[in-house]
Amino acid sequence: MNTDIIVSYFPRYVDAFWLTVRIGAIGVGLAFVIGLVVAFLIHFKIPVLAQLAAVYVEFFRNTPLLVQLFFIYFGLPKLGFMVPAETCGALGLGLLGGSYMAEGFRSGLGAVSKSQSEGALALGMTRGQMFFHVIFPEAFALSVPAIVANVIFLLKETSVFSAISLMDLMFTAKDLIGLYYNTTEAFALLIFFYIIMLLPVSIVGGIVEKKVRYKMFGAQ
Amino acid sequence: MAEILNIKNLTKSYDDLVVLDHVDLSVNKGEVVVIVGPSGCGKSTLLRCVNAFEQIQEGEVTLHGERINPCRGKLNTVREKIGMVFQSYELFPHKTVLQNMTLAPVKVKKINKKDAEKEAEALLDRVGLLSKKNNYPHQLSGGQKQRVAIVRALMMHPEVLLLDEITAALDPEMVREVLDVVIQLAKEGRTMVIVTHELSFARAVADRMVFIDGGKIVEEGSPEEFFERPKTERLKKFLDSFSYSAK
Amino acid sequence: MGFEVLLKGTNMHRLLDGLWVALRISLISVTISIVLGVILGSLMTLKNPVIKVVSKIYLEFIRIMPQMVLLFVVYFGSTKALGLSITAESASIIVFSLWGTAEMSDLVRGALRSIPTIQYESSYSLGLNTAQTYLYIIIPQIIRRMLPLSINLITRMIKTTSLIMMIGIVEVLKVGQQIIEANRKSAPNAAFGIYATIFLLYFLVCWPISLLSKYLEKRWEN
Repeated sequence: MNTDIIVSYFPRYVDAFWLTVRIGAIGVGLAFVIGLVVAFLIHFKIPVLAQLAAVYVEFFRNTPLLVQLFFIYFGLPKLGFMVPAETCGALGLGLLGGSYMAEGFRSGLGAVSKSQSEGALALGMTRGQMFFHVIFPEAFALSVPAIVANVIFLLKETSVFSAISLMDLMFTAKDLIGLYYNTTEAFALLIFFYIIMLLPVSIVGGIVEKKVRYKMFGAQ
Repeated sequence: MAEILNIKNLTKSYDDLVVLDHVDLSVNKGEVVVIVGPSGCGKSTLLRCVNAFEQIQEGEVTLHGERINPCRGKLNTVREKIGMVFQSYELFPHKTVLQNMTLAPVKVKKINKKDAEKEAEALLDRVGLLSKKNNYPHQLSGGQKQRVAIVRALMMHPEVLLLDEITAALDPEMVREVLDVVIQLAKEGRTMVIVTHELSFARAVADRMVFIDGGKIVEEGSPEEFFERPKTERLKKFLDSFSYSAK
Repeated sequence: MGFEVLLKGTNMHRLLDGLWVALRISLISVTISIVLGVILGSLMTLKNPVIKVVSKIYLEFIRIMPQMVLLFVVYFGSTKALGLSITAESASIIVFSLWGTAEMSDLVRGALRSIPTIQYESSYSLGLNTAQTYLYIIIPQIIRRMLPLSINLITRMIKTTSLIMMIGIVEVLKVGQQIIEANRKSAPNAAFGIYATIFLLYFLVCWPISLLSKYLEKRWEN
């Protein structure tokens, strides 16, 4: 491995890293919002919207992100919807992630026991108060492991962005290899930057999971 | 009376913590011995030592004079002769009630499946659960599960039955249905060693009471003496902790 | 909207052939992953410190490294590092098996751990020996816990194999691109129809498998 090459490549990777992080963060944020909304629609059985939400979840959970991106990026413009590459990446990630997050929140909501809500009603809370103060926080806590797993999964999925010509880490590595054939250095940096991006998420996620479990059950 | 089970000088410890300290206990054929004591006194560990689930550091357990812990031969052939029922039932969740009961007789004793089923049905009928024979454990209440666990143990015709806090996980209204089964078994002359917190049940079923505290047998005797005229301060205190009468 | 292109010549047939390429690679990888995952997962329950450390690093690395990165590193890197050239198809099977084995072993370990010791003791106390206990009591329970999750792994594997086009394997997306290219003039809107169709094809393959997995999970909940 040649250090000069590494040093000369480094700035390009840093740029790509921030691009990946930025789109990844927007996508994850979007996934979070979509997931919450969809989970509520389904949990409260809002007519029509709940059914549509369920169809959305099934469709996006059962298709690959790459195919979703191709459809949004290359397919939709044919109907007159032009989506710029960055928006497409964030949107694709958000839609894919939303379907996964929705499943996570929904099973959390389903798992909070009925007795729990009866307890809150007995304390004189209104149904709204009960939902926001008792049921939702608990359901959210139950969903934490799923959320952590989903965030890691989504950030990994950003690696397909290069397919719609976003200059992300993967694109940069491919580009540099194509130009100079320094495969080893290009891949070493690629792996390095993905570790930088995902190892902290994985570690922090693990700590949060433990904390939540501790809070909920008093022990692991 | 013929002695079946003998525990001699048994000492069990985890590292420095001594759980059972030179315990001697002998159980005769047809006798029901009930062990009581505060939580953590080692009474459940004693049962687990009998079945050789725990390694012991000193002493020995013998069944009909044959040493079973520490065990030289095949443990499973020894355990066949000792039935055990657990606090948490431990039915096999992927098998029906009937399959739970016939598995060991068919696989271990090589009994014909039809015969085993016949016997299982007769036992289920006795505990009022014949209609549940094709149900899975998760479809049963705690009390029903525990009754199945008891008759499942009986299917192996054990010489001694060990019952380890079998009502501790049950809702109060289900305790009775399980204890009734145990009282029936006692009347039939089954040899049993029972660990329990249910003192009134203990008194009804026991031929002999044993009080363990701090890993040692502190007192033993007939139920009447034991409850009416406890000799040691520690037993008096223990019995008092169960009564709510004003002093 | 571009759907008509599919009816031209053998286009639809080619698309399905492409889908089969992806499915074949996923099925081979899943099979390898299940076998290796069961072995590794069982080893991980032993308290051997070397196995523990190595498996932990392996699992964490696979957990945070995108399959796409692994695919490129194995396919293009192996030539350079090891001096051997492997086909794109073998490279993808290697990568997906590495990933699947990691996932599977974690599931196997979890399932093995989820059976409490007392369930073993309950079986021993009936006189069953160790082999009988595993055969009749433990393994059937583990399979029930594992099967829904393993089936779920199949759909995830199928979705992941869409990446193989990126290392030049002609699978369904690549075929789609070729069809769009070839009909650029006659059907300028083919991209919509073709990609919508591929979207639907993946859904039609993965959805029933997901449903089966959910059904089994519900059925064997207890």
